[in-house]
Amino acid sequence: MRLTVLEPDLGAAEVDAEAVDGRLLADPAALPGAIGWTLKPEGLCRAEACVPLWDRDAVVAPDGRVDLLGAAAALDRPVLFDDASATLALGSARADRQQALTGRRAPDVELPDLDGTTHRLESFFDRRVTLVAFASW
Amino acid sequence: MPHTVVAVAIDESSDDVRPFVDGITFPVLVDREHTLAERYAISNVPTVVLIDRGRIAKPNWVAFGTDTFADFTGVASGPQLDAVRHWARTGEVDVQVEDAAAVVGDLSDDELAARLHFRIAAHLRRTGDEDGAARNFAEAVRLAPHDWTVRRAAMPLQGVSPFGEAFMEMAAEWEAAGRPYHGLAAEQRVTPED
Repeated sequence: MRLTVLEPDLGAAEVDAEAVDGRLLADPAALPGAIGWTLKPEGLCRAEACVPLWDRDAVVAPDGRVDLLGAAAALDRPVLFDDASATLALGSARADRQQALTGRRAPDVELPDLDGTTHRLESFFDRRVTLVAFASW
Repeated sequence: MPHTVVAVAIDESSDDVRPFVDGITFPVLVDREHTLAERYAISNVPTVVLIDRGRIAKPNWVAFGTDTFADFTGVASGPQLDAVRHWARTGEVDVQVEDAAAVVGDLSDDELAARLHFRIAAHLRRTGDEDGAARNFAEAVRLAPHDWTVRRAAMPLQGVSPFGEAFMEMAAEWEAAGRPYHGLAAEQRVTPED
């Protein structure tokens, strides 16, 4: 099936996947575009960071395809699959929020301004920041 | 040490935000996917976080810049504006928080799932799948009935006024549940010891 994967930093990506026994199997080549991580012998990797896969069989099927739900779990990210619309949504890693709550280090986030130019919150961390979350509602 | 305000709108589009930012010179960002809200466990607006060179000096709290809703919220803006001005000038905060986790409870599994349903619903709405959107908005609200970034934010996306009956209903339920909030509620704020 044609799956839409929603990832907070990457947006929406289309991926071919097959639902098998509660798993969503996809070609590992689709992984970087969908969730930003690459399957390597040492684990799931992004830039210089790798998350080792202690139970590789929970993520990689015998035929070499990768289970998107297993990959999300290995990355400690909440994940939700809406069968009816074939949409898979990934949340941020729990570690991002834990670093704020227990470590008091402000998580980074990349967001557009009103003109569409993206900014990293971290780029303001050379000074004191009063962060104000507001809404039109 | 320089200081800046960074305002983040938990909103669907820039057009929703523009009417509120006329003449504002500090950065205003738009968090359509609620990513900031997810990473900082923000469940209502306005929520303010004070960050000193990447370190959270004062975690989430409800801070109003005006008294527009003071009658309803019971939160006056004056002391909060003073606290923010003092912080901007000196870097000093008005609470001693050693462990932010003690005041900002982590999002529950249901609240996390609700936010994913919301994200799916907003996406389906954009792609024209109204039924799929309605189904996922409903599930999000069922899982996190007291999360304003879910339930109230979903109202305008479903053509419901976020200031009307649906809002009053949510407010009553939230009140009855003891005003749940991820952060320092106004009445929980403490004065630092000398």
